[in-house]
Amino acid sequence: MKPSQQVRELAATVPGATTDELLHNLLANLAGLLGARRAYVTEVANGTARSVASWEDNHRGPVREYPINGTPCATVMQDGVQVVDCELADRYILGESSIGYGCESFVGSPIVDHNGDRIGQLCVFGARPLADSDMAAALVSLAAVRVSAELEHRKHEAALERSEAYSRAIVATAAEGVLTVDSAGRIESFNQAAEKMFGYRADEVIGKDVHVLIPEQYRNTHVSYVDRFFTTGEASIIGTGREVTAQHKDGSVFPIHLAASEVSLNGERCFAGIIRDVSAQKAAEASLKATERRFRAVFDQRLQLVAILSPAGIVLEANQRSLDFTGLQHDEVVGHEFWRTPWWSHSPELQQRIKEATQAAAQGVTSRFEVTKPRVDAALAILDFSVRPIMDKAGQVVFLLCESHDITEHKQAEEEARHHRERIAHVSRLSTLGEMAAGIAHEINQPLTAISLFAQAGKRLVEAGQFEKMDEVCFKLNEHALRAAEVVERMQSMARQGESRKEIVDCNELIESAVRLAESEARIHDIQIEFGKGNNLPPVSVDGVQIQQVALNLLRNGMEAMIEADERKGCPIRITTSLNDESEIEVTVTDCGGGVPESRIDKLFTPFSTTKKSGMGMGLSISQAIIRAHGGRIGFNNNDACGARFWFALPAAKHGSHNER
Amino acid sequence: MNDKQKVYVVDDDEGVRDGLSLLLATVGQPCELFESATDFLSVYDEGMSGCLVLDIRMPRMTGLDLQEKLIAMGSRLPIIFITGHGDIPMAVEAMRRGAVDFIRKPFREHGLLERINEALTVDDTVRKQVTDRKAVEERLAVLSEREREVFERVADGDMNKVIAADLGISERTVEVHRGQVMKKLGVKTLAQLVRIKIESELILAA
Repeated sequence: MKPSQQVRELAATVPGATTDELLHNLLANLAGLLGARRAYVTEVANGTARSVASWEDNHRGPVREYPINGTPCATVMQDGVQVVDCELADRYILGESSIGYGCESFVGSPIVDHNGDRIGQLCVFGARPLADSDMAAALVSLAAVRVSAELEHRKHEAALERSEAYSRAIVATAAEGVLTVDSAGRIESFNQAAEKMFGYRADEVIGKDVHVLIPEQYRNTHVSYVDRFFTTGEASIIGTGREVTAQHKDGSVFPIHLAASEVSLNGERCFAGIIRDVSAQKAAEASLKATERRFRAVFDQRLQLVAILSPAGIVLEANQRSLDFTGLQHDEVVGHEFWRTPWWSHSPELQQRIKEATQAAAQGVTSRFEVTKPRVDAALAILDFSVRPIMDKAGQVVFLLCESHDITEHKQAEEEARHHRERIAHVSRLSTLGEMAAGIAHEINQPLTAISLFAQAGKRLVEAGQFEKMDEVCFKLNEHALRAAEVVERMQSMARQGESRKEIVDCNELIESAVRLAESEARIHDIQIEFGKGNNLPPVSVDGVQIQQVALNLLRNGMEAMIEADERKGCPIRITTSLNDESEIEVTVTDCGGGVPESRIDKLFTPFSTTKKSGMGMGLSISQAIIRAHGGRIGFNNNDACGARFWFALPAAKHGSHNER
Repeated sequence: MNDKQKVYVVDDDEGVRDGLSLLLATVGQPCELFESATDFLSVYDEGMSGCLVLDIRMPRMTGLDLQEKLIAMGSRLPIIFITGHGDIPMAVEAMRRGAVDFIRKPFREHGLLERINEALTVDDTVRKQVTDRKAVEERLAVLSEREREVFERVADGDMNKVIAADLGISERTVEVHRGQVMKKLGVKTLAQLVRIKIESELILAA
């Protein structure tokens, strides 16, 4: 067949009813003209070709999908039209599964889209070498152009179809009312939503003046707008939109948002209006505004100082009280990083702490601690501060809520109460020491007696010129002087008045010292004190003197009970330290006196309630106040056998805490 | 004072015991130390001579308790109580029961040693008296009951006739008893007999 004939035949390919038919007809013709076994139209994307149409051995072939890497198809995508006239297998290594396996020749031409980008190719594999490779290239190129056009066309059509379907669906089912009005002001179309909004059926209003939808008092305004548009081309509504008032079929009026556009149709102007009923929105807006006003009022008038931050720590809002507290303006804090606001500028440490707490809150962790904040008068107030994350339903932190309230007065009251308690505790200690004076005097007299005896003996030895024993005498003198000093020291520390100081101490040492002090009295009354020391007790953070005071109180109470019951002969009072089940250090005093009578139990820890002849009845109430101030507990129970068992428990010192008030 | 006398110190305070023992050693006074009243009681015997220096306050058995026990046992060992501040009522009680003295801690040197010496002298005297009394009692013990009666009356200067009437016996019998008494007591004259009577009365009254 002559080339010209071949071209004509190809051009005559009957356009199929569909793209699919057209492509296959084209491939069939090409294959026939070139004596090829296989021909394909493929789309290539991401290195993979997928056939849109395939012709294999004079029949429609299956959809082929293959990687083009290593095949002549790759060359086509890269360099354009490609012809291999013979020995295809020598130029490309094609495996058995490859599309060109067993073929001798190849012709390929790219298919391009409307931008000229290669989107696929038309390729033909021949079983024999090509007779005329130029001709083959021309034919394939020509066919590829045809295919390109067809595919492009098809794409446009599909897009168009889609968009029409969309607009039909949109207009029909739109929540917005859509109507068109001709240049004379007559309604031309009226959609379902518009029907619902205005209460008219479409056929009731089509052809009528648009004024039926406008309340009487606004009709003149509308007319003047339309007139002005026609005379000046000036439109206040075209292309934009505004809120206007519309009239329902029943005569009621309602707010609508109207967006209008001008459409020229066959030289005639008409207008399309898109209408949204905004009465619900208006009502919601009004309610939102009211809510907001209410919220704002609450927000601003709250006693607490409140700030709302973004998760990044930027202040979004701060209530009026929080601003007034320090005398700040809204814009001094809003929009700034929370920790850099003037609230914290008096302390870099605090800034750092606030920053860390804010960042922790953004991670979902709530922090609460005491802070200081300058007042309007620049004096620092003490506040209880907290920052916590507010999360949405998904658990995402959406903002941070910072709240603080002034606890300065509360702190001062607390401080006063502490001073008060300390004063009473001190007075009570002094009174205890007074009551113990006989015992303490005895305790001091013993070493003094020894000292006096050694001194007298020493003097005689010196007078007699016997110096060899003087060494021992002097040693004894010193030993007993120190013994006396120890007693004085213990007493002095109990008499001490001053700021309560918490120190990390070993509870056994404290109790030991209290026991030694109590022993002076115990000896007078011929009572033995047994001290059962607990092993491996964690240290406690306490005011040592106060805890000794409590232990001493309990020991003395127990001894008095024993004296009263005359149970002392041979029966000791026992004090033990141990670690209880709650990991507290527990100190227990067990006596063998008469126990606490039922009638006294309720008033046991009440101030000025006493059964003793001497004393103020303050011992247990002060002990309770001291133990509570240390975060501990105090209590008692009567023993089964005899006497009472009083105990107190103190929390173990937290690791790392140290000398704090 | 005699060489066998010892100071027995009973005090629960080691310092006081040590000091006392050293001081007594410097004046050459032997002593024995006891930590508690019971310790002392366990070694006590009637033959102990010297004095007791006793702490009034001690655990378990107090000084007063010990004193009571010793009195019950017939001990005549003089006791000096050691007292502290505020023990005066107890000390008074101790004195009422016959304690020689009490001294308050801390001790003045002379006070202490002087009082110990005094106590030792008392012990000595008491011991001598006891010896004398024993001798008198032994001497008089040889008399029969009737002879004793006659001795008392004769020494008081009563006439034989009066004695016979009072005792409801004959004058002759009185004379026989009187001869026996003089023979048994080894005296030859009435004056010697009267002296024995006066001496015995003095000793027994002590």
